[in-house]
Amino acid sequence: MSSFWSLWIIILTTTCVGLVSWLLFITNRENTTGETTGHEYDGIEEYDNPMPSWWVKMFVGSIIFAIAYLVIYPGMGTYKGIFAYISSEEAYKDGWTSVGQWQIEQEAGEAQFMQQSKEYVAVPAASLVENHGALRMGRRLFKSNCSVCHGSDGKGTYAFPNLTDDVWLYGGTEENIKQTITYGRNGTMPSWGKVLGTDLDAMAVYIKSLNSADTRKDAENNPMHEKFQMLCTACHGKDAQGSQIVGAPSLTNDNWLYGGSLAEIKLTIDQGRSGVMPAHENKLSKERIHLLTAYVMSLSHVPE
Amino acid sequence: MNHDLVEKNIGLMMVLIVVAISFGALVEIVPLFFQAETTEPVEGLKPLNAQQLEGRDIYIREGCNVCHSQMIRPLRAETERYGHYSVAGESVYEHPFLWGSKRTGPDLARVGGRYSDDWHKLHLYNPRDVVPESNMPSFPWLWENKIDSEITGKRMAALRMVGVPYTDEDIAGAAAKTKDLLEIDALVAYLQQLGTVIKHRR
Repeated sequence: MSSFWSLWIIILTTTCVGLVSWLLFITNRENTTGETTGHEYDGIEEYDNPMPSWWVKMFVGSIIFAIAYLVIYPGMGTYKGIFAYISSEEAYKDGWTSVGQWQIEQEAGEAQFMQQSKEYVAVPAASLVENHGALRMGRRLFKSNCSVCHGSDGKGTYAFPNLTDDVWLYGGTEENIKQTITYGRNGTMPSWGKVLGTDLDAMAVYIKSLNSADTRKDAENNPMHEKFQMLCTACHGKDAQGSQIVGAPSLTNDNWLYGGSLAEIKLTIDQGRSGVMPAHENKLSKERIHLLTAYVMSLSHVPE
Repeated sequence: MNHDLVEKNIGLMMVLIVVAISFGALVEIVPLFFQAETTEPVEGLKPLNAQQLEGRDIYIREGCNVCHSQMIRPLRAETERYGHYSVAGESVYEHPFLWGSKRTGPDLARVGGRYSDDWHKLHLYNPRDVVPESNMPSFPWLWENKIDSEITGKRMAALRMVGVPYTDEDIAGAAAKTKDLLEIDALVAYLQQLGTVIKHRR
């Protein structure tokens, strides 16, 4: 702040406090005089009484508060306030600020977090799936960072994977999950509507037939079998088991991200799908991702 | 004390009222017009592109700012949930600013990149589909309406008059960029850039 604006603030603030004090002083009277203000409406007159004393005392109190505040805290232009000299905190060396206070609380919070998470971070996340303390921290992180898409129970919803089952698009090992949280995932199913043309309906029926072992037996006799081998196996695999490397789901079970009805399967094939898991590399620290991984693993963990 | 003087001269009373109430603004607001912290953009801040700018107008039209603030205060509870606190330099190209004053829904100052585009679309179509306890309204008409691309360039030109550094090319090319753009895509483009200039790791 330039010295002009500093002076501007100091002069105006002082003037304001001075003016209200002066106004209070000159209008102050001890006793009622019995005189009226001279106003008269339909015979009703108004006594010229002094301000109520509680009101005057509160006014004086707020003036004293203002002066004390301006001495302690930075308010008068570039003046730092005596708090800067009393406090030993580095963040307050240029006077108290809300950002300075935030910084101090942040550092204290971070130190506490590091202290509490130390023993959990030292061991693999997989070994924490029954650790009450680690899971409590993980659950809180999950609620504020993951639950909006995956649901507060982790069961996901249409287009967002369920984390409580043992079906994983990109793998469910500690390493896989950390990779997913840290760098995010971009799942892309291209649109095949134009390529398939009139075969679209038949292909949807074929895909649905792969779902259960019963209907799968006849898959090779299905006229779409060859087309599937040509178009789909690059991602979904030769036997439609899927691939965790590209995040292609297995088509041989009844687990569906975008719905398993014939109409929904058709829509998926026709228009394609793109699922994005945002990267958290720049949002969450390694320790937090570790705790989150443990919590996510615990969701599908069956206690022995 | 002579009441009559002030009470019977309405002109003098008005002058005195203006003097009495102007101190706060003169001390707390006017100096900010001349501080670098409030008038200079933070590093990396760019004016919204054509799609994002149209999205911002949808945001205003639908009244998103009535329930969602865009102002993270420097309080630990807020920065833990939303990310780095908002700084004035992020808002220098905002006309009008959308800081808001009420949070019926969460703060959106740093919602950019937090969720996928698909999530935003599902959520705006029917918020209950992804957040069962949500009381946010649905906005299905955003999928039906297209942006009036003729106006995009004019919006940019108007913003340039108040100091947003759009170039002539930006304005000339704006219509082509928002041609046939659905309102929902514009809105998602706007939401996905919110607060992404400042990175903050928790």
